[in-house]
Parts: sequence; structure tokens; C-alpha cells
Amino acid sequence: MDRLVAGLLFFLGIGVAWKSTELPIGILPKEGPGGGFLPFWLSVGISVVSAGVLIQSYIGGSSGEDAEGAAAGNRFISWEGFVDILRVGIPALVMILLTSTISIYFASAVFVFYCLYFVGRHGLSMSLSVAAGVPVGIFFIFEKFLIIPLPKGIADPVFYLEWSALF
Amino acid sequence: MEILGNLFYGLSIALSPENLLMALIGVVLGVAIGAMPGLGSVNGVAILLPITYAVPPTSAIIFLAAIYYGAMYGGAISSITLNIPGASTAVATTFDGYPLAQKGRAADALVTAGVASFIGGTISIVLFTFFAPPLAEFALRFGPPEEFAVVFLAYGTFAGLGGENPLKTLIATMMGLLMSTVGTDIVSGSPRLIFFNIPGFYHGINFLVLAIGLYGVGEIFYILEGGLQARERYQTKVGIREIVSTVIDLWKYKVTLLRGSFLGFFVGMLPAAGATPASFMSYSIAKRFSKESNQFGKGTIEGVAAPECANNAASTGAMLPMLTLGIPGSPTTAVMLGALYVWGLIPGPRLFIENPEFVWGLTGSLYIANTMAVLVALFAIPIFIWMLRMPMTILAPIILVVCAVGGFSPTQDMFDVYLMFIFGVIGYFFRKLDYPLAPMVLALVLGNLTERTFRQSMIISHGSIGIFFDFSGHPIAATLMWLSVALFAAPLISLILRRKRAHF
Repeated sequence: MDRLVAGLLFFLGIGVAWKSTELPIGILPKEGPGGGFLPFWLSVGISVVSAGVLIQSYIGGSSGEDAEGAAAGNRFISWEGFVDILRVGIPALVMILLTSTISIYFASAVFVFYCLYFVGRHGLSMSLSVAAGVPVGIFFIFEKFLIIPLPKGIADPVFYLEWSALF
Repeated sequence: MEILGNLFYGLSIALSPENLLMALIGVVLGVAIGAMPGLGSVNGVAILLPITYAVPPTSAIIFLAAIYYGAMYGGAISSITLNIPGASTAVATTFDGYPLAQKGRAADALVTAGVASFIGGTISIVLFTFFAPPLAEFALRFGPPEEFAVVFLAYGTFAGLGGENPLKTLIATMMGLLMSTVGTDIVSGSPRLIFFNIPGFYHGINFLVLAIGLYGVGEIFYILEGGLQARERYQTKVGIREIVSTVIDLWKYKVTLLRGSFLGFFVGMLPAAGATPASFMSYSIAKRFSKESNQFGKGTIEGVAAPECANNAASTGAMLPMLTLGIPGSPTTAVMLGALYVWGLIPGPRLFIENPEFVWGLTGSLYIANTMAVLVALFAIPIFIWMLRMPMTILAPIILVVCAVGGFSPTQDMFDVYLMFIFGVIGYFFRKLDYPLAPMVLALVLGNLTERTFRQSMIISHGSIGIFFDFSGHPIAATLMWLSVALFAAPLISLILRRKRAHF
């Protein structure tokens, strides 16, 4: 896994270096370094150093991770751990993707309810009350107190009425 | 003395109702967050930063500093009662804290942690009050080469001190710097690194999106992996009697407390090294010099007092270079530094001159927050222990929602929320693979400053790098640069030395 990530970083570095050549990467006569200078050399640096990390992983370098990893059977992550993350992570991703359409309030309510009731196996009343409480809490903190509008998607007209009613 | 006058001015600001309220809320939230296993001051500050948009910067920094302080107190609670450190800053507290709990002396341990934290905090705040103005004045002599050298030193200390693998630290730093270049080129004004022409990249990568992604979302993933079961915990009550008797006991260890506080303050002042290394160092030194050193690890009050006073002292120390030089003394202050830039405040001597109410209001508030924190931490312990009962299955989704909203707030662009989620995934992988996160955030925060000062210096020197190493023209810059080079080389040198020794 360490090697996979290092390899990914290596190619990422090359890709970004390519992209940074859109702006001049040399040192211009009167202005000093061009716009692309820093990103280019930084991404080249990333590629070089990740190649170094790759090499390190083969010769058993200073990170010391290989020794423990070999002893523990070299598992990056256990199956249970991975599943645990996905059980909350995937719903979180779904919530974020749905936010722009159905508004953060509905999305978060559904997400919180799902996590509490299905993943956490909490009681129905507990799940419903927390799931209702979170959007309400967010509304008051962010929209009323901080006056930062949150994404409302198609639910917008509903909130406009409520909004004007509160003022 | 002028400093005392400023201090009273600051106290008057800190004692205003809004600022008192911000301090109180911050302390309570900080203790709560610090107590929660897995979440520490840096996560709390990152996740709660968006809330500070509604209030003036002075109140906002008071709030964040109160969270920082609270977390130092709170971290001890789960360390002692659960043997799970509330934050990396509280790991050293588990060494003697949990054995004490197992012996039935959890109350003693908790009170010791609270009182030691208070002492560490107080001593360090006094040091802070007197060190801050002279340091800021020193920074007045800085031009672009010196500014660049200071920033470079910050990177050097992160490379030299943080993480076991210097190559990975280097990668994290470079990634942060690279991310800071996305958006608009500061000198020419042309768009830069707009990947796949996604409009969201035009406003650059917001440091808060990175911070919340890495430290909020990423941390939750990491915690989730650890499983969602409950752990055995020790119930305890803390009353006035316990507090008084423990305070009397602590007088025996006054040397340890003094030493830990001074040590903590100075370690905290060093860029990059924050409360975590400070607490470990204080513990080891206390163990070495203690008359009861064989008791360490089996449950001795001194073993709890040493790390706890040091971590509070270090958090104060970390704020010193952040305010005066613009280099953060710890990962948490790296995030706070980002906040300063968001509020339009440039750290350094100008801050002391143009915004004295900010600097001295903060200083005054530190005394107040410290006092509030010890009271909250001691008397609200039963509440926090109850709170620790709340399983991750309830907390995790709530925190993720808060993160999502927090990621949306700075720019009102859903794209940033997607980015935040991606950073969460990256943060998780980096945590697992020992890539340090703090240098990345630091590099993003300091990236624009780094580039600007570098290019300005190059313009001054007509393209010659030598300006940074020129002792006659820029002695401060040259000294700092060589120091940074030494720090960068340190891991390499120690690696070579280790190899040589192994061959014998």
C-alpha cells in the first residue's frame, strides 16, 4: 500500500509538472521567477521524493514500517475496519452529493437517521430525534447566527417562506 | 512598565461580556473535544473555525485559544479513565494516569491533571506576556529575505522534528506548497493550475477546506476503523475534599511543576514542536530526576503532573511565534495562523501596533480562559465522563455533518465540500502510512507568503540566491537559513550515523 501511494504520488507529480508549464517556468529577466516556476519544481520534487520512498520500501528504509508490517502479517487495514469506515463513509459521500439537490437539511437528516438507526442500531425515537435535531441546530447556528446561507437545492421556496416568516 | 499597562488594557477587553462568553463556550467545547478519544485541539480548532466568522477577530481568537486550552485539560480525562489518550497531547498522561485509576485513585489523577495544567498555563502566560513585545520588535528588522528565511526555518523544523520519515515529511510539505499555488499567480495575476477547468479551483484551495478535511473527516475515518465498541471505564467523583488534598500533595512536586512549565513553554515556542513533544519530554525528564523514579509507570501523581503542566505551557508557547513572527509553534497554531490571514491580520510587529486590542485582548483572555478551564475541568468531570459514554455511532455522523457545513462556509461552493471529502480520504491514508499532516497544512497556510517573499527577494537580488546567505548584507536571514539547512540535514545525518554504528 505504501508503494501504491508512493507510485501514485510519483505520477501525480509528473502530471502537475506538465500542467504547470502553462505558465513560464524559467527565471524571467526583470520579474524574477515565472508563474510556473514554483509549481513545476515542487511537483518534480514530489515525483523525485516519492521515487525515493518507493526505493526505501524495497531496501527497508528508515520508516521502520516494514518490520512491524511483516510481523503483523502486513495488513494495511483489516476487513472489519474497512467495512466500518465504509458503513459511515459511503452514506456521508451520498449525503454530500445529494446536498445540492435536496438541501443540506434533508440530506443531513437522512444521513444522521441512517447512521443512527441502521448502522448504530439505536432506537427509533432516538434516531428520529437526533436526525431532526441536527438540521435544526445547523439552521440556527449557521443561517441565523452566522448568516451564512447553506445549500437548499429544490427545497428553496419552502425555506424562503420560513425565512421571511422568521423576520 | 508599559507591558503591565497593556496587560490591564487587554484584561479589560477580555472581561467584556461577549469575550467572556466566547471564552467560556470555547473552554467547555475544548474540554469536551479534548476528552473525546481521537479528537484533539487541532481538530476542534479546525472544525469550529467557521463559527468564528460571525464575531470580530478578537473574540474569535479568544474562542479558539479557549478551545486550545480546554483541550489540554480535557485530554487527560479519557487518558486517565479509559487509557485512551484524548489527543496526542495527552498520551504521556496515560502512563501514570490509568494505573492510578486502576488503583482506585482516579480522582487524585484527575485533580492533579487539572491543577498541574493550571500551573503550567499560568506560568507560561506570564512568560508570554513578557516575551511577546520584545520578540515582535525584533521582527521589525525583517525585510523579504528575512521573512523568507523565517518561513524556511519553519519548514526546516517540521522536517527535522516531525515524523520518523523525513522523505514523507518532505512530500507532505511540498504537497501543501503546491496546493497553495493553485488559483491565481500572485505576481502576474494569471490563473494557475486550474485542473480540468473546474471553476472551483479559481479561488484556490482554501486552507480551512484542507484542515477540516484532513483533521476532521480524515480523523473520523481513522477512528471508525478502530471499531465502535465501548471500553471499560472508571467512575469517579471529584469534590472539594479531593481537590484540596491533592493540591497539598502536589506541593511536594513543585520543582517538577516549575521545570515542566518552563520546558513546555520553550518547546512550544519552537516552530512545529507543540504540546505533544513537550509532554513527553517533561515526563522523561521528571522520571530521570525524580526521587521516586521507580514509581513512574505504576501510578504516581508526579507522572501525571509533569506532562500535564508541560502541555498547557506548550500551547501558550506555541502562540508566541505565531503572533510575533507568523510561524506557528504547533499544528494547532498552524490552523489558527490560517485564521489570522482569513481575518486580514498579518502577524508580526504590525499586529502589535495596529491591532493592540487583538494581541492584548488575547493575552488577557488567556489568564481568564486558564482559570475557567480548571474550574470547568474539575467540577464538570462527571458530565464529561457521561459524555464519553456516547458511542461513536452518534458522534461520527454529527461531526461529519458539521464538517460538511464547515467546508461549505468559507466559499459557499459545494465543490469545496467535495474537495474536503477527498482530503478526508487522503488524510486517512496519510495517517495510516505515516505521512505527517501538520506540514501539509502549514505549507498551505504559509505558501503564499513563501512565494511572495522568495520572488521579492529574488527581485531585490536581481536573480541571485546568494542574498539569503549573505552574512554582511542580511545577517539575520543568513543565520536562519543555515539553521534551516542544518535542520533539514539532521535526519539524514542521524540516519548515516545510525548505519555506521550498526556496521560495527
